Amino acid sequence: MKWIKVTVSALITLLLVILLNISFKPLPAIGPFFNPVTGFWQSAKSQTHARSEWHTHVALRDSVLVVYDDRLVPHIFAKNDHDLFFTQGFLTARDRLWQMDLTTRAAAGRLSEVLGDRALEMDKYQRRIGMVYGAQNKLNFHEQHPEVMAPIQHYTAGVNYFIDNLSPRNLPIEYKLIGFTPERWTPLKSMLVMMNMSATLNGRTDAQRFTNTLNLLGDDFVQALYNPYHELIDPIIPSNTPWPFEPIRLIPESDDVEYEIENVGDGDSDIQLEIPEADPSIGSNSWAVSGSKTVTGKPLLANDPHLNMSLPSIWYEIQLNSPNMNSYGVTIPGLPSIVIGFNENIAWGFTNSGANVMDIYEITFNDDFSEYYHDGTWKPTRYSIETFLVKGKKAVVDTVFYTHHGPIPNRTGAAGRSANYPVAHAVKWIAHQPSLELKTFLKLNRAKDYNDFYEALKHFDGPAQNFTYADRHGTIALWHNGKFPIRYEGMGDFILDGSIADNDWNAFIPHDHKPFSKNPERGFVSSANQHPTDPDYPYYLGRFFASFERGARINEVLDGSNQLSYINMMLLQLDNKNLRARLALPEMLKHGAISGIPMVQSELINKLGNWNFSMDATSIEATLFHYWWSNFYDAVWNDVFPNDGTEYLKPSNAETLRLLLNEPDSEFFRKSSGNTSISLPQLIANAWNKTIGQLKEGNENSEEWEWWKYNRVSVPHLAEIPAFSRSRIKTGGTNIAVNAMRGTHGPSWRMVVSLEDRVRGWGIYPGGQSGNPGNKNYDAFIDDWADGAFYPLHFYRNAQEALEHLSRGINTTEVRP
Amino acid sequence: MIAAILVAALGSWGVMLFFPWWFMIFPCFIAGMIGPDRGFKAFFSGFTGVGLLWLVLAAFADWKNDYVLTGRLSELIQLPEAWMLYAITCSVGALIGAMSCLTGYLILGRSR
Repeated sequence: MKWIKVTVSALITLLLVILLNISFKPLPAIGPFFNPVTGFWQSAKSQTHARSEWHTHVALRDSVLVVYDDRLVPHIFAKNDHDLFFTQGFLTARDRLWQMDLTTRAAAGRLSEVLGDRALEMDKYQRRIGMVYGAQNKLNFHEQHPEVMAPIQHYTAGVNYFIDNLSPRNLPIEYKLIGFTPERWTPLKSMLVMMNMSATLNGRTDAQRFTNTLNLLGDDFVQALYNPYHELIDPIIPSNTPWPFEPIRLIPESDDVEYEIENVGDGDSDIQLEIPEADPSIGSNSWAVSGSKTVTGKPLLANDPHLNMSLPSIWYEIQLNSPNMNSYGVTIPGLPSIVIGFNENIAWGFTNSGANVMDIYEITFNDDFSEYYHDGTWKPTRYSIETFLVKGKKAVVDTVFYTHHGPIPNRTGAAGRSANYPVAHAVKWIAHQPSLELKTFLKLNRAKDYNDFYEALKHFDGPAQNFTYADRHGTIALWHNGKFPIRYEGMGDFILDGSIADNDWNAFIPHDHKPFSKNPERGFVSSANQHPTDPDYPYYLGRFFASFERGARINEVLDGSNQLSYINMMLLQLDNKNLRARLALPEMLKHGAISGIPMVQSELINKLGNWNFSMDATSIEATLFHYWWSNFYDAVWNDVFPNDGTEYLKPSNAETLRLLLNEPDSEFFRKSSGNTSISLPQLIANAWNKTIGQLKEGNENSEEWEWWKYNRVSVPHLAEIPAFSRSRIKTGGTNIAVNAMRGTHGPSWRMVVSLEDRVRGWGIYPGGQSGNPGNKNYDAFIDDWADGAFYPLHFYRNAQEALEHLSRGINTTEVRP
Repeated sequence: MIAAILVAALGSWGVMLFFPWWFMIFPCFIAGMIGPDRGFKAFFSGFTGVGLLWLVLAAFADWKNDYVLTGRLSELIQLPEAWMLYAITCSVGALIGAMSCLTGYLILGRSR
């Protein structure tokens, strides 16, 4: 009897234990997750944090002082660079370990190891597009440059010192939720962080969609409506800037270079799906104003990169101080040094370049893919065998084939994202090349003057950027910088024939031939991802740069004043003016009125007539224009492009606007169905009525059509866990306004720097220093950011200054311009 | 019984710091063996010992944290109220504590 009781009781206990150890996805197992000794409760860290601390680990060569300001920004004061980067790694890991781990696992195609087979296709894609291949190439190159490798190794040691001393019960909450443990950091992972940046910023091409468009509509259409030097664009480098060099020509100009267009063609008609397209939302603004135009007489620099916004944020704010450097700004977790910021002498910023640095080649393989045809001979294919460990399942093996161009992401009809690439085509991507971008960052952190800046840029191959520069000596400059293959006119716009040697990347634009502008007459430099030059620039960079609106708006505001202050810079970053609306709306109202079609809700038409073209959060006019334009755009182009499953590249909004302004009688505005035909006025009136219908469907009351509700600005958690995300953020802007806000894209770091004798900076990003969703600082900046506030950045010259400020109490009061 | 409660609470805490959470059943076995003279007392000792310990530990962490994480987590697992996290936590600990304590008691069979 007793033993029956014992057995029953023990079995129940055992059963409970087993049951509580089982995870019912997506929920974690209850026992490990809920117990307060090792479970989630232990990730609920104290909200109080040290205001300063001395680090004296054995791994350090000397003691390191870290002062935290009231926003939890660490200010590191180290006595040597080893300790500086070690501590940067250590602190970044302490605040952002899970983010660093997850993003690099994703880049390496290793998410299945922790998430199971739902991530397998994504993982395969990452390996097939060459993320690890590129990272390894970069690492090998870094290893030959000890001056760059050393900081990476110190940083790595710092991250690992944190990981090694991290008790499992103190793991970030996401590890406990998803059920895995951190992996030690390696220099390869820092390279994978760079690869992630390249994939986000330069890892795209429109070649396939453009090829499909060419095949469908022909050369005349393509030449007429896809002008790289669009007339509305105000290029980054002012027009008529002389190019005082002899350009390198690889193919004599007289050669007919159109053969590559005709060689593509029928063979590709089965191409169905799209390549990750150039995302018009990914952009940035940056400008620098010369002292001749500012109230202080000293330069101002502003930068707001628009990236995918996430929690934890892509940016981590920090000050780095050692006898060799003193810099402040933001960096990407996983990279030593500051990526965007300033030091005691200079400030620098970036915007992305739309230059074409990814090409797709059609490859002629033999039957078993062992050889491919190139330059008159058959060459051997290389391959790598990729193994994917899958949580809870057997490992999966995949073979990735390489030509000398690059990897074949979709060899025989792949699934998932790989299927976005045409079958048996190779991808050539600048990110695969050995390069030394970290050297640029390290040199920028230490730069004292323009010459240092100029030297630093030479090491930066990709992702190609517009580098903005200003220093306290009075110089401003902008370089369109990266490694650009020398292209014949149009090369790479379409899928290239991979067997022709002239289509290879045989040479690159020399550093001194890249577009740049130093102390231009107009007193400022600026970039907003638009085409860097006018057509006189002797090299071909690509066709698909950002639309004109942001760039033109920045330039008109900077042109308009010679008394600019840092407040003006902030206001310009927050500027919601929509130049497309300013140009298009008067025409749309005019044509709509003469259409003969009654336009419903005419009081709203009147409202639009008085609108200031500002995409403010509560503007109803902004919502009306946005949908009216997009319905008009669809009406113009949707019947030109058949809905046959093939992806096409429609003419841009800017081209459509140009037609509206200059060619109202264009054939594309004339539509006929049956025996009725309509022209531009009717098209516009119909688009209006459709817009009102759509908006009414959502909400009858037009007072409720506030723009922010439709613009849907949100900052999602990296693993898209809703409770750890911020959504429905009430703020203004749109992707073509300087305040480039749209969905999960937006100004991921707003920075303004005044290059006075004592450099001052202001900044804010939509997130918080801590990556821990249980920390108050996790999303602490988001409300101020949505309100358009800036924080004065506490940039100390030395440890004494920081400690002094600390003893008085650091209270950051935000600036609300 | 106080002794059993203390052994269950402190023993399970200590063990969990170094071993997987469910190793807590072993100190609870022992608590069941040494103290109680009735089955329900053993059950009660494990129940209150572990349950209370978990409640205190959870509440302390939550208080230090200013109740931020529990707010987000209750939203995440769609609990209407944050206190339900406590309910789940404590009932898990209490139940396992109680059953293992009872098992320990039954093995030794000290009942009169």
